[in-house]
Amino acid sequence: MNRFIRIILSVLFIGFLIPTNAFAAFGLISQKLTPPTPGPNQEVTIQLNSYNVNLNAAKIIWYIDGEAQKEGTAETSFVTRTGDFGEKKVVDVVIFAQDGTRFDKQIVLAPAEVDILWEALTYTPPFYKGKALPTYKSLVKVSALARFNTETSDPAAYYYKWTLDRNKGVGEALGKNSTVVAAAWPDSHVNVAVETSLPGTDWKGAKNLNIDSVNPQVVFYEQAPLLGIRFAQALTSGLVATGNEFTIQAAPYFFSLDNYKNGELVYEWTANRNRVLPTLDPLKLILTKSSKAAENFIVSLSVQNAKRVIQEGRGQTTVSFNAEE
Amino acid sequence: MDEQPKSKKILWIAIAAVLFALIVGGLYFMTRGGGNGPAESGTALFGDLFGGGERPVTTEETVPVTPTPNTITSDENQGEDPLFRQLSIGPTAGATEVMREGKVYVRYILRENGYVYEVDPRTGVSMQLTNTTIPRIYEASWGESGNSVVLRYLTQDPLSKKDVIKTYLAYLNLPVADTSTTLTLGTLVGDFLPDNISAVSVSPDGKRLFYLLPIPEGVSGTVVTIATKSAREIFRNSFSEWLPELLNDGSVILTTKASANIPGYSYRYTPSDKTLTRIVRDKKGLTTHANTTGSAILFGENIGGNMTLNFYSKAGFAGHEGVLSHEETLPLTTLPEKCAWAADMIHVYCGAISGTPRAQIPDDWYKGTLAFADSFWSTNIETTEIDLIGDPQKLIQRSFDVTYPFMDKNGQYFFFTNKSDSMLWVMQFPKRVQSDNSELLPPDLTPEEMKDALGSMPQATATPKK
Repeated sequence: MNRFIRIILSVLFIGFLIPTNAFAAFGLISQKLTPPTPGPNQEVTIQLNSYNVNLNAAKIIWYIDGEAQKEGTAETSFVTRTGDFGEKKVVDVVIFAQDGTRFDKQIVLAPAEVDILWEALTYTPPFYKGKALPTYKSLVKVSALARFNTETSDPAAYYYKWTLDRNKGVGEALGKNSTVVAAAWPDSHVNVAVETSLPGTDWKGAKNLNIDSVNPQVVFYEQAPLLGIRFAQALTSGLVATGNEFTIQAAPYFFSLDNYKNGELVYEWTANRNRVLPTLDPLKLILTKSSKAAENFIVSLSVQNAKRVIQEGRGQTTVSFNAEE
Repeated sequence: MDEQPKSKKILWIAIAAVLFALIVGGLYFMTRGGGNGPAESGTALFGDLFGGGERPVTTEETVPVTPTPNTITSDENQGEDPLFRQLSIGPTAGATEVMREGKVYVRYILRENGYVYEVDPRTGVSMQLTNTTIPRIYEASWGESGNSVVLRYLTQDPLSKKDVIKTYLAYLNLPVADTSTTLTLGTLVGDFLPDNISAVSVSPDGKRLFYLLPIPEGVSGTVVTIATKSAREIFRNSFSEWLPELLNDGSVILTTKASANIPGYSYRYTPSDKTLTRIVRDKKGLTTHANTTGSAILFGENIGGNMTLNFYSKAGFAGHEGVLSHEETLPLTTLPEKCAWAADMIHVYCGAISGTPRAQIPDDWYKGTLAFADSFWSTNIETTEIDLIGDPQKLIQRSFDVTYPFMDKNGQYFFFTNKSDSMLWVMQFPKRVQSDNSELLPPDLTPEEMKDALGSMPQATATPKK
């Protein structure tokens, strides 16, 4: 028994003294990729590092798909380009240490296409074709669209790891292709990153982006009796109304959707600087002409989110009625 | 003893149920029958399963056939074709081309009441086709060669007071034409699709529609065969903010909703293998408009505040040093949704923005806080050459903000809605007058060489009349 233990210890001791291929695999020689998860058709730098092997005295040969590309003493870094989406590139490195010991490394570059799409959970009026934008503390749903060169295109088969502002984890799991983050202060941003891979394969991808916040906006439209709300033409520079009555419809762009739906936005209308009492529909104001003389109304609406108080916006417009003859 | 009366009762109930079903079925077919409506199908009876909603009101009415000539025309010189002509008698929600006996007509629907009209672009004379009242329509997308229409309008939830988007798939039930001077107007009959559909697209051949419906996990996409009303969910995604464009082959161009400073993405979704293939990526203010097959896609990009028009070619073309390129810039400042593809899928006609507005494009245009005064251009995507067709501000002292444009199949007309007032207009292309330069050319040219040589010479263009 004692003899057996002695043999094992001897092997281990010798192993520490003489690096071999097996020890390279244990991480005696490591590699660093810049960027860490390159996308398709992207330049990537591979840098070898070791605390145990003197790479500066080692002869290093770099191969791509079996063909030698670069060799020389202390050639510890190598620059290449990833292939198109779906193309796998195999980089082999053979390292001969000063004492003649050989180490083999293999790096597989198998880039996936990853796009990050996000949608702010903020209000836009019906039929609006533009993007809802994030405002202070509004929620933003971020989704990853990844494509690997495999049979499966099911997002549930991929592994996702989400990071906020470069160091805060916001979830990772198989099939977790979306996450929700809170938006930043107006005119600043949050950074969201995702790393994704297909378990059991070399395919992987990564992407990160900034999500900028804006201020909410209040835009006025005419609510025409027959045509409905005229979203195509906002009341920006004032309007001369026909008839004795005119209905203004306000659209509180980019306020948090949950607060809008829960009635947590506070509306304050004024007409000619006089506060107008709220009606059943707080986004609507009916202006009525009181005499036959010409009348002007300078109308404003301030909207504030009672739950996310930094979210506020104000709009102003002018509606004029002509004198009746 | 009790068994017999009980079974009799069941029998009577069964007979009553069958009679009721027959009456309901009969009434349904009576209201759907005849005219240019779609073919009846087994699923038609179950149309209400699409969703509920208040039915549009139809009044039984026999009216004299009195074509309604437009009160405003761009042409003061009667007898000569104007370059621009107003076609609708009021604000419209959408229009489509109808071909009859080789001639082009246009069907449109009035925003205020949902009445369908047909107008002759040569005369501007409108004729009312239906009198089913559906007030305040915001969007209308046409299918089946103008015989069906998807209507979108708003109602309000009585409890929450929040807006509800209704989507109604309607079929034109038109009476058979006769030679009398009075004619019963047709009706719109149809079914509601689910509430709060976020976007609808009808394929260019008008046979199918695709809609997106928000669901808790994201969005669901359903394709409906318009004639049979058979619906099938073909798409689900965690991201919901898409603008779809259904193509004739069943694939869907999905483009993220745009904002001036935010990179957008566009994909082609193939339902058969459920794959999203990236088309254009990382373009700020990205909006798209595909041709009928999706082989070429116009896309707009906001570069430094300026809108650039570009196109994507699926096949690609040889770029610098033989590298296959898929994208090319066209020298026009406009949005793809202000352009229409010609039937040859090589030429594109656009209302193009004049000047460089200081605004967030396309956001401000969508919000209605920014309007354009367009001039009209054509471009050839193969050569990227552009031609000015006309500037309405100079020609008729009017400005147009082009939206929902489309071309007729013969390439004679460019139809568009003026965004500021939702009126339907047509621009008739000026007839080219060949200047006789042939005598200047050598006599031994082949027809192709002659065509090339003539093409390089200046061509006179008929001057549009004011």
